Amino acid sequence: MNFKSYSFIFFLLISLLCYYIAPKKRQWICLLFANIVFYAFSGAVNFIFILLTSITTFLGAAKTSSINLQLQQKKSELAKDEFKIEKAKSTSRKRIVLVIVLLITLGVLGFLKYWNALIMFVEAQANVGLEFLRVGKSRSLILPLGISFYTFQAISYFMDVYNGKYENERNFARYFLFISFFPQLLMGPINRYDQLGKQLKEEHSFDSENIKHGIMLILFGAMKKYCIADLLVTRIASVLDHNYENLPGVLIIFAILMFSVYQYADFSGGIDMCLGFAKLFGIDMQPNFRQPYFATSLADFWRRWHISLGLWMKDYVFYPLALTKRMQSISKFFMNKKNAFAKHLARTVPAGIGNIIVFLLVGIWHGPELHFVFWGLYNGIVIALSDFLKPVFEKINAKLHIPTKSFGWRLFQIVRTFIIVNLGAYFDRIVDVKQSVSYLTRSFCNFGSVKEVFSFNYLINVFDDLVSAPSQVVLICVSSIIVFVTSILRESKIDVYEAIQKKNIAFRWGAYYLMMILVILAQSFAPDNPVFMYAQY
Amino acid sequence: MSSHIDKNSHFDYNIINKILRGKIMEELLKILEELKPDIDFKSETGLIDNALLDSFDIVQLVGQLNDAFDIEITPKDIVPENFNSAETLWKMVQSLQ
Repeated sequence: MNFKSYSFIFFLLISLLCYYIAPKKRQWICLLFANIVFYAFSGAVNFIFILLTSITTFLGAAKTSSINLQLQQKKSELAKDEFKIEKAKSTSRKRIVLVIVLLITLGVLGFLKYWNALIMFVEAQANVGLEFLRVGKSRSLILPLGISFYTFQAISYFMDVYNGKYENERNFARYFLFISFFPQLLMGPINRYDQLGKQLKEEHSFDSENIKHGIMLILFGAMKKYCIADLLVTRIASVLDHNYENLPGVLIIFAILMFSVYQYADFSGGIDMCLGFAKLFGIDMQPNFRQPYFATSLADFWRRWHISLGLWMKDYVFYPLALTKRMQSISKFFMNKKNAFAKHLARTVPAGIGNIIVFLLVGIWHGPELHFVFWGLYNGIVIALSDFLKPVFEKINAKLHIPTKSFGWRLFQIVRTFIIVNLGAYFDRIVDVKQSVSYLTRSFCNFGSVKEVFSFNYLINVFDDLVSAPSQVVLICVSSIIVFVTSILRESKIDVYEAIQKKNIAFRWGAYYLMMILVILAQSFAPDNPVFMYAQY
Repeated sequence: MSSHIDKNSHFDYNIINKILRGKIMEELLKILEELKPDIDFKSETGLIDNALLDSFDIVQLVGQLNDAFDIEITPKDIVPENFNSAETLWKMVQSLQ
């Protein structure tokens, strides 16, 4: 369902009405029903996949929970050595359940996302026709709505129960409510059961504060999406979707910068809207962004961008990988050498390898294309290298007497990080690796003339139509300034929503109306069928 | 007489406990200070919440704690409640021993 469609607005209003007039104990049933209706709009067949993942993780968690419980009961009955043997037995039984659950859930996701791409790769390498093995004609199948997000969410629930972090949910309908919660389905965030599941169980009275806050979030997100992202998307495509010979570097850099603005506006705008929809129901989802372009290093950037994915990867991939006996033995090997450099390697090698693998997975998760592999590796290697070279940088800073606590140094770090992120964007946005490399080279070696490129005659050749461009530029700039100022305030630990609520009525309503008017104005130029970049993941 | 012995053993137990606690804490602080010399671990209570330790630091710290105290810290133990201060780390080490 398109957020701008009448059907979605109607669905949202009816769901809210039912939710708040229903008896408090039955509210969750209203929400579950709303989720099912929302999901049905994306295609009834998709139910098979979300149900399969939900049932698998629900039963898997129930089984591991009972194994955990049996072990706990035996703890007081058995001697220490006997208990150790029993614990080992329990662990191996749990591992069988773990393997089955991961095979089914990740198997479905992997099959739908990568099967055709894999067959095509084999066809190209071996020069044989294997069309009979492909499902459909396209490179990747049309994915069921939110499959990546609900799969990750379901796995996190299973793993937490597996590790004894909390008790399993006994009621499947309540569990399914958590997995299928409609505001998160389109693009996340990836919620955790101990945070979202708890809220879904609570009773929620109608509170105008939630409605006001929710609407503010939706309008702010809509402004980012419709006044910035949607107005930039076709302009970026005009430059980066074709491999033009001799395209001047300045135009490529301009397109990459537009892409940086676009992807933040699109993804964080969409997430703001989703957080707003949840807030209308009195439910707080995890924030997914924290002013990422104010990050002072690439690692810091990834702690501020798509936060819920980063945390998921850290908890369920990075730590389990970096803490394996093999990785720890690498660390021990260097520790035993007793010199300072070896000690440094003891720290950086296992964590660096774990980090590169995580980013490789993040890259592949974005799609079965080579450019995403390069992009993932680029991020992983840069972070690992910056940790590895940290002592060198610290020595250089000390020698040059750089005041590392000063504002100027922080500004330098922010600009440096922004450039590093944008260098990665060449491999993220441009789908052909050769073109990425060629465009990157031209950005440095064939800069071109700024005056010539930004002339009307040149731009009309690139973008075809510039009739409404001045109005669009004004909309993009006004909205971007609002987003920038908001980000600076948030970075200064100011709760912007609270600050607006403390102002007089004219200011408060002015803030709502300004965003609303900008969104309405943007509709004259918006693409017919706007999609969110993270919608089909 | 027997009550006198009981009292004494209770007294000894407390002292031993205190010594052990001190030893573990001393060792723990040594590891932490070597890891990040610029942090005051005796007073800091937001090592994770204030982003003073990153995931690379935690991997290194876990390896060293495992070796020093002969324990096995698993990914499920890596939660802010365990890693926010020297005190919480000490409690985790004790519970895993």
